[in-house]
Amino acid sequence: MTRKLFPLLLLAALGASCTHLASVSVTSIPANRGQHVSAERYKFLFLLLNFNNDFVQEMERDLAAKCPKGKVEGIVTKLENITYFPIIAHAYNVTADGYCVAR
Amino acid sequence: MQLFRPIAHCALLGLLSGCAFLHRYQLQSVDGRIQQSSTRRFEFLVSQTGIDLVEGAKWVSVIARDARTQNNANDAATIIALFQMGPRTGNPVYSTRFADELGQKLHHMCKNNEITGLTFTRETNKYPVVSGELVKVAGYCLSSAAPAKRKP
Repeated sequence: MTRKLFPLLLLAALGASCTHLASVSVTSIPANRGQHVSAERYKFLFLLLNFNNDFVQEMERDLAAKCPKGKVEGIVTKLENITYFPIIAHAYNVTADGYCVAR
Repeated sequence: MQLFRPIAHCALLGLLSGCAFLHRYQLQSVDGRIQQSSTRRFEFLVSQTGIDLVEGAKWVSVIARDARTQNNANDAATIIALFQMGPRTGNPVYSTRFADELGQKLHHMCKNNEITGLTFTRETNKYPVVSGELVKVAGYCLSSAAPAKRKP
């Protein structure tokens, strides 16, 4: 019984994906919380191999494109480390949510 | 079979070496004017060398041929690991003052104009035993000539 149960438990543990919150930050929240804007960047890592973090670059441009005549404030940024399968399949996910405030 | 273990260790370390890790990402408020051609983007980083002594001791235990040296190296790795136990970001560095100059550098990047879309990224560039502990800063320097409002 134990011989069958152990591999099953091991498989379940290895197969279960996990998400870790690496960092979160918030800037000053504006009083005029009008239009909600958001941007997201994702990078899949095979065997944890990652040679640069350029995927987060210019994320602010995504937000600015959604608010060309105003200013994005009250930005909540979140960095998640996702494990789909230990060592083999991982990912980074970065999200930024804020409010477009007219200048 | 005796050769297999060190080769497997080396292969694993080789696979995991030279990798970039992203620890933290922070974005400040973004002005829509960053899309204008008069806006200048800037980027800089400050860094310090991190040293993983535990990994170094493990390398010694893999490379060493006699069992005594291997055991001593493993003991040293365990003792160092106990002293460095606890939450941390990246490898230990001998001084964190490398990040103190961030404010001054930001001032030099955009002396008299408004800075917007500031991003702070904390990264580690990992190599065997040593690492680069980085803080990357990027942002936009709004030109004083950039209009506050676009014409309708």
